Amino acid sequence: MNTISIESICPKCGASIPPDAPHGLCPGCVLSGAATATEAGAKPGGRIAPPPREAVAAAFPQLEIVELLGVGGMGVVYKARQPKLDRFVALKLLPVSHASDPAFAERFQREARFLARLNHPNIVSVYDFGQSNGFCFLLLEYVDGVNLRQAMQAGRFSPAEALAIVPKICGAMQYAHEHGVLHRDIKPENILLDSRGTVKLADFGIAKLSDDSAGARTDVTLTQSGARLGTPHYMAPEQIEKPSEVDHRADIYSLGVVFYELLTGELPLGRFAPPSEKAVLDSRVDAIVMRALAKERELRQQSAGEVKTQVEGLGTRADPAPATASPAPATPMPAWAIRLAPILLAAGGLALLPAVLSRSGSSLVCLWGLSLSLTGLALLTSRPKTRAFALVGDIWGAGFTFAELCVLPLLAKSGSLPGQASGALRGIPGEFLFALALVLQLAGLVLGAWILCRRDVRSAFGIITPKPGDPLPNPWPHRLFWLAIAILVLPIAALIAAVLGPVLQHAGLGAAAGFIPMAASGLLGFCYLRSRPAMANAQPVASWNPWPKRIFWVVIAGIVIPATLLVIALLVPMLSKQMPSPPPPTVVQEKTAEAVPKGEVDGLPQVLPAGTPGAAALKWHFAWVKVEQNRKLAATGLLSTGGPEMLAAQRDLAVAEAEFRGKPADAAAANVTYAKGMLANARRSFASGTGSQSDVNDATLALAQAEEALKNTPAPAPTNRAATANPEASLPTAEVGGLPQVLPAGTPGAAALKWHFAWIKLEDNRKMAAVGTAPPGGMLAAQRDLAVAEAEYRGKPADAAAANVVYAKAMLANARRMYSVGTATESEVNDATLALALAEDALKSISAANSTNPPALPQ
Amino acid sequence: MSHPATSPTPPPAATGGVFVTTRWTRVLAARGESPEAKAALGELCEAYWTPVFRFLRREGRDDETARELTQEFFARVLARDSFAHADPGRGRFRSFLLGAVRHFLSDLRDRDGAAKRGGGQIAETLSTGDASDTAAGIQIVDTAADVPDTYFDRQWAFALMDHAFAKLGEEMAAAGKAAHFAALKPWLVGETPALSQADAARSLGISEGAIKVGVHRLRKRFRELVRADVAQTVPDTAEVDAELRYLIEVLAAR
Repeated sequence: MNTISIESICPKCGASIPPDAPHGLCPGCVLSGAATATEAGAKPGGRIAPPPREAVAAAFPQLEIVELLGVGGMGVVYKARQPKLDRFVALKLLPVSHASDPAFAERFQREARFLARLNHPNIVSVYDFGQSNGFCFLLLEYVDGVNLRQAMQAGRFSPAEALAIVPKICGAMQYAHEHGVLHRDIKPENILLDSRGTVKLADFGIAKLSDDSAGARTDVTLTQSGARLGTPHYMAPEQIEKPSEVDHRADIYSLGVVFYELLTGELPLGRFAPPSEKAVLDSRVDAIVMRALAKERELRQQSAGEVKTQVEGLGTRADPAPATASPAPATPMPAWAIRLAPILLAAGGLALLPAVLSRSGSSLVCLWGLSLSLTGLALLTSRPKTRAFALVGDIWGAGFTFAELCVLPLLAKSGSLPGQASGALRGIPGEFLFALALVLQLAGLVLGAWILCRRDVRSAFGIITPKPGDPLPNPWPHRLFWLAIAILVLPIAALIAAVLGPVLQHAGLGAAAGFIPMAASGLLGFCYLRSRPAMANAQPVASWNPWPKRIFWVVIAGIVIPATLLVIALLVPMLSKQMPSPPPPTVVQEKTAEAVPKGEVDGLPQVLPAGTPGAAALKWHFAWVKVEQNRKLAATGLLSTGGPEMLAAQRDLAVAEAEFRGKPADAAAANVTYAKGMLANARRSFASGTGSQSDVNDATLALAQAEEALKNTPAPAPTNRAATANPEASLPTAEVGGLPQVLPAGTPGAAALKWHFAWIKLEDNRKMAAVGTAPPGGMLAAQRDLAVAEAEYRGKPADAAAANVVYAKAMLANARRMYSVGTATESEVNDATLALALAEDALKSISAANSTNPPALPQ
Repeated sequence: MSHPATSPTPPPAATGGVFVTTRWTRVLAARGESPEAKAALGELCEAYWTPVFRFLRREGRDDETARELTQEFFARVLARDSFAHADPGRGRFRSFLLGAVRHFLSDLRDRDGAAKRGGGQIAETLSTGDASDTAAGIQIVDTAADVPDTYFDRQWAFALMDHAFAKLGEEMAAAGKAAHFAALKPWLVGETPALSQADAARSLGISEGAIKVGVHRLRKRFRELVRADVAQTVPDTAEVDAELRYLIEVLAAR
């Protein structure tokens, strides 16, 4: 078989692994591992030779000896089974040499009784003790696991794990201390860890008893004579120097050593560095450990409970706090993202500005601004909850924007008004589209919230720190990662779409910049995915190696999706046609359709052709309106007050009034005034060089002609206004429906004007109805007024009465409908019924009076 | 010879200087004469078939030729009294086997050389595999010297580990823990930050504490198996450590 030269590297020694190595593992390391001892204290030629198994089995007939667990300074431990109780136990046999000493036996018994008092979940329980066939034994709880030493050899402890274990040990110690029992030999070999993570303190074999009640201090040692108590490295200074004056604080020192070793993998010997310098962890841990390791016991924590409180007070965070001097930033947001954040904040503010100033912006613009600002804020802040909030807001905003900008326009051609559905899908009711948009927004929000509720996601986003017992620690599970990518690919697509902004603008997707908040949320998500707080495990970023490939696919999606949207957007306008707004569905309207003006005069519909009664009045009215318009324009500076348009409008007004009043002299005078004004303008232009001499000549000629004409017309002084029916009322004073009323009722032409005004009002109502802002009963009233005005103009009171009846019927129907829905009272229905009855009576009486001669209808 | 069979149960573990009878000691004690010794020798040869095969192949032979030669070699070892060369007091089985292989190869060369030269004719005295002859005669290149001893020893170590792995894998599979075995295998090299116990914990669905327990037990068992196998091949169990150390040196030196 040929070797394919993919050389792998041994993770431990760094050498390359030969292809024929067994199981692909570095052979040198494997064999070295097999050569080293896995048992601590399994020194070659150990001090104690375990008794032959047969002897042990014979001495304990009620037990089944399973295997030898270990040999230590204080005896031999076997794993055994109690068939009667069907459970495993640990059988600890003490050195045989002591067994024959009766004094020892007594002490041993006393000690065992004290140990049996200790009933704590984190202390190995004593089931039985005694002597049997020459063996002094303790029957202990069997812990199916390893001791801390073996666990440390099997794998490095993370600070989080260490911080989880220590409080439990403290709890056990505190309990024992409270019961007057010291351990005096706390070391990793005596701390057991089972596969469920339970911590058990064992080997209280050299526990010192402070039995104050007996009045005497009894020293019981179960080690071989001459052996020091405790293990040197873990012993408190006073244990070495003054062994007889040791109290519970020596145990705290030993705990400190174990703690240090757990965190750093080394013993605190000589001048040692604080743990946070040796491992990646919170510097607050240092204070606790160093205090426990104080040489003077008065400086240490005074109880194990105190240590426990301190450690638990750290919370579950074993990671560097943001302010530590660790080289890597605690919340490593990419630097470029941090630089981008203020830009986003500013852009968000700017986007909000027009909405604020004009006091009417669309909600969409406000949302953009908000979304942008949120993103900027989230990128800047290092506070996890703020980030979480910003992320949710962003995802919601993205969903909303996507719905508003992509889905609705595709369905409704342009604009984001749910009520206006044109194009090929006219039939779809606006409510449905609106509901669809809402659903999409809601989905975005819910999705964002759900993502953030998942503990593993939050830890991947750096919002929380995973606890040791978490089932799914970092990194982010595979499927969820892809789901998030799918959600966030839309904003990233939008980012690219925003680049194509101008093109999209043309295609009618309008506010392409509205994609930017979506892009911003995509950016945010991207940054979160890339940045995770430095975990103490310092797992290599190898898990992110597939990134380049994923980014590639995301970018491809980001190009394909907006391109598709673009194509669709270009097609939709071509497919849809602009439908004219349907006419209001009232019969009355159709009747007046023929009389409705057809042409326009200066933008105003002309109700009656010239020559018909009232035309002159209308002309005067129109001229007045035009002058007003010009005055308004002049006020904004778009028109000069002395300019040609202004002069012409004033001339027309004067002429129209003169014609109405039948005063041609006034008209001529007005022409003269106009000609004078024009000459002045021409001279001015000529003086400033923008006009020519011929313009001046033309103006001079026109003036001369006007003066001629004035001389020729026999007329009273133009300024002498003849008394009309109402001189003050000759100029518009009041308004009717927003339009100036030139003549009071009764003057000739008033009826025509009233008809005209009614028509204008109806048109206004129609426009408002198309936009959706029509007042409820306004349309009917306007139609009724129009019909009445026409009837009056034509001198047909019967028609007016009929129109009133139609109106009353419609109002009654409205009232009835509203009453059935519950938005109107019965009295309103009664009023409407009464009004209808009155209208019908009026109609009957007029029909009876019967003026049926049709007047001369104007054309 | 058939393919390597599953090994019989290992002898009781050696602790604290208690002398335990291993296969090799039995062979040496009986100098390969007794049927018991022959059986033991047979088992050892089966177990270490691969290093010999690879050694023979390394000289440039193809698989088929090498296989035939290996069979021939082992047949010779088992059939003849090869123990004239072995010093029962000192030798380890590995050294013995290597020496036998070299001897076998030199015999082979003589045979081939004689055939090439037309066979039957008496050749001039040439310096062959006889180490004691240092006379400056015609130097024939000893092609077997191109393959160093350490190559054989490396393959020996590999075979040792393969066997321990196989046994361990069987035990774990029998206990229903094949997945554990596969996941925890990498930690047999020792504890290293480059391997993530968190990943392993997740893939097996157990806690990290349980991983540590599992790793510890796996390494312990593996160590026991390796030591047991090594003990089979040394004359005295006190030499187990020395043999292991030597093999580790060979592997490290490459």
